[in-house]
Amino acid sequence: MTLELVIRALINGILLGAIYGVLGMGFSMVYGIVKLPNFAHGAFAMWGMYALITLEKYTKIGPYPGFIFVLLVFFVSGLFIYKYMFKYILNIEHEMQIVFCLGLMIIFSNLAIIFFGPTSHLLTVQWLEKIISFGDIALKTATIVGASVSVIFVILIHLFFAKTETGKAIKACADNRRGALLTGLNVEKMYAIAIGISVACSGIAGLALAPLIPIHAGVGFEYAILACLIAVLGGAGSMGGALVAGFITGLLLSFQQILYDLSLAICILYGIMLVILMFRPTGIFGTR
Amino acid sequence: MNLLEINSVTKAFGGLLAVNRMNLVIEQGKIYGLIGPNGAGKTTLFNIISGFYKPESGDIFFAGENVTYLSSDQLCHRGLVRTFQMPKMFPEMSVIDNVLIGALSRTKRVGLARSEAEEIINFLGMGQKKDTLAGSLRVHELKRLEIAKALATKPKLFLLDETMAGLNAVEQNQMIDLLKKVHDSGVTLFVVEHVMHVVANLCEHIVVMNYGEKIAEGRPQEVLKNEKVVKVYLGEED
Amino acid sequence: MNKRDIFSYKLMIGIFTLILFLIIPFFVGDYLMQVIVFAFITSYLCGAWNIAGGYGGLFSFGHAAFIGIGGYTTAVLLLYYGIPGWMGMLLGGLLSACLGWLLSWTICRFRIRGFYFAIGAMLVAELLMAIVVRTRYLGRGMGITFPPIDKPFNFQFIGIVPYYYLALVFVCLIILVAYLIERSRLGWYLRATRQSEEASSALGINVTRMKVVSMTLSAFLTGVGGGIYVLALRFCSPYDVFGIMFSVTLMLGTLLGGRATVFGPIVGTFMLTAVKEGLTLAAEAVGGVSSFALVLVVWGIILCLVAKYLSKGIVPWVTDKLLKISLLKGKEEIV
Repeated sequence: MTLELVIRALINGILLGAIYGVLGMGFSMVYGIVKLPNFAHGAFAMWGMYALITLEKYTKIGPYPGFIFVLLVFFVSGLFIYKYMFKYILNIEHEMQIVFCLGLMIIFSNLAIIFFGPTSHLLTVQWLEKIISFGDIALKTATIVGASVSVIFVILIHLFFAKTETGKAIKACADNRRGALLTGLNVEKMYAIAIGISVACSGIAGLALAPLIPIHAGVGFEYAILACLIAVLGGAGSMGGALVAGFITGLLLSFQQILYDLSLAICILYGIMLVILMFRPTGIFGTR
Repeated sequence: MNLLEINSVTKAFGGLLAVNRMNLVIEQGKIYGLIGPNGAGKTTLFNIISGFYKPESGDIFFAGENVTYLSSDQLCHRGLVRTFQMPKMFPEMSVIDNVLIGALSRTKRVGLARSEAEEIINFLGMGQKKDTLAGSLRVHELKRLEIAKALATKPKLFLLDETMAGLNAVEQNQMIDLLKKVHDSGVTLFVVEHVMHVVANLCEHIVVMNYGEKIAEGRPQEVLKNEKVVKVYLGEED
Repeated sequence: MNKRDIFSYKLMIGIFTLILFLIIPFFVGDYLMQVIVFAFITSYLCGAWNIAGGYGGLFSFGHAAFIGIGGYTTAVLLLYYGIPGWMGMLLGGLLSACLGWLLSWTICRFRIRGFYFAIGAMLVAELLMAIVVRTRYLGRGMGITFPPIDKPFNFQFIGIVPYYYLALVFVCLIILVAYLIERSRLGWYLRATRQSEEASSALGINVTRMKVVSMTLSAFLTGVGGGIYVLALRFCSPYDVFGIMFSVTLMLGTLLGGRATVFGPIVGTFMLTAVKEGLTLAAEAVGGVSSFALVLVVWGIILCLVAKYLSKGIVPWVTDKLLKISLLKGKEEIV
């Protein structure tokens, strides 16, 4: 194991970690604020990838300039998803909530098959395919761009929740729903916005990952599981925890990918997660 | 033989000593009462005896056997059963089905258990409501159901946690008669209560707790006139 | 009319349906036979899931793990070592039972609940799939294909009809098991545990043991079912037997039909099968739409609707309505 391999794994891991972090954050956001285990979270990432492909194939705007538009669409979709779906399942049995979200994920994944076919697509964008080299270490531009976008988004989200009125109000709702209602906060609106941001997070993760992997409908489920795992590792409900967990996962996968191969890496990841679920299900920064 | 022996039992929650070196002996066949102000540790003691909490130190003997670390279901099989302050029943099952579950602890045969359950329901005067869903019962009926369920497990020692809470005067008197009837059928009762006249009326032997410790013990007439006890209740006279 | 009459009604309908099913192979074509056989097998599997998920209250999102273990055990033992299918099925069931025991014990010991249990169960199935896909001995992603041999002792048949009767036996078996459980002390204890663990504990029920027993039994039956599944399909693929969609099928069928009921899983499965076949016909008629994906979209919608509006399932809903009608009729007569 040469030094440059290690360094490459390290950097790759951190970059991937940022992307996974943003994915996990979205899940933790919904679980922490609305108390809903949104198992369909990964499906939005998948749709983000397909959105990029559509932009690239059918429009003159390149996929990356177009992604801001995509993000807005995702945010608004999130609002609708809350208003017409999630709102109604807030009070049903916990297991049924999971079942419902699973149902959503199945719907989304298979709609993708209907619209885009069952085969894999590859997103090829010229300038993203370039490889930047630092000495002997080669990195794909795509990874760097994806990670940067994720980090920017994470910073924006942090600022939103910490500095803006709405953001702070949303945190209040998360901590104490009844108290928030009593002080006149429009809890419905807060929840909707939170979910909108969450869907946008997933979309960003999708956008960032799109150039790096073969895109097919099964990706929705894979990333749904991954999002859950990252959130659980960091402490389901803790956004900061999800971010940290994202980095840990990114590093784990990156190192193992370089050491052996991806499929074994996934086996090991799942195995570790099972052990964590047993002994410390509240994760690193667990609140529940 | 002593039915229940509590030796130097201590329970702490973090830094708070909820029960502090409690010693108590319960003889078979009598009705015992446990009183004390709120927060004295009465329910905690009950929880320890009935297997829901494990004490930090000390031990508990039931019919000669060390039962300190047994769980509540294991205790139930040995004849130690309790009711809860807020009745815990099976809301979507009928009254008789609720009691059936209790009876099933003594026999595997569902038919036999059901007829025993029916006997107990009649014994406690709930025959009319036998098929009503437990979730739709009123408070005093729920309390009766609590007792019925526990009675179906054929206990030797019956721990009752604030059975009178939430009952009006008429219902309380009915409950007193009911408990006396249960006692007459051969069960030792250990009752936590706040309502003084009930305790005086029902119990043969009273234990008083305060701040997790036993401060007095004896027959009702003596205990209720005890200076320490009166002070603890801030001069509450009956 | 009271509960006992409704029961006799159900029994009559059941027996009538059974006789009907016995003579079906004489009247029905190959394709429909395939559909019915797998509907039976899936009904059985739903019923097996129901023991843990319905009666036991352990809503498992990862039962495919047991199907996979049963399937692969049967396939490997039969095709690599010549061990008869039925023996392989039993062994597969036993192995699944071991895993089921381990899982339920872990859940109780570490108090793993709700969402964590769901994701954990899914993870187990996914992990097993990931391991099998890497293992050359087990056929990797290509799976294991059964040659078309006729060896009845091994449970290997060429036609579909023998599997039909075999599957029918399985369905009757799971109906019997569910019925026996409901009437037994175990069934009552499971009901009590579902409604209140604390009250149950206070009345002498060992809640942990209840959960472990229901999960272990369910795992065993599911594992055996995995065996018959791959035998009838003549193909054992990791993406199929360990896949999330199989777990979902078991959940959906039982949820739709009615958890903790004897006939719920079967009713639910047949309704889903009807929907699936209907949609497939429609998709082929229209052309150009992937029927496979369309069916799943509709199943997803059903899943969402059931989760929100019908989480008790169809059989209890129907039973309720029948009871209410009979109660009303009773009142009218008195008046």
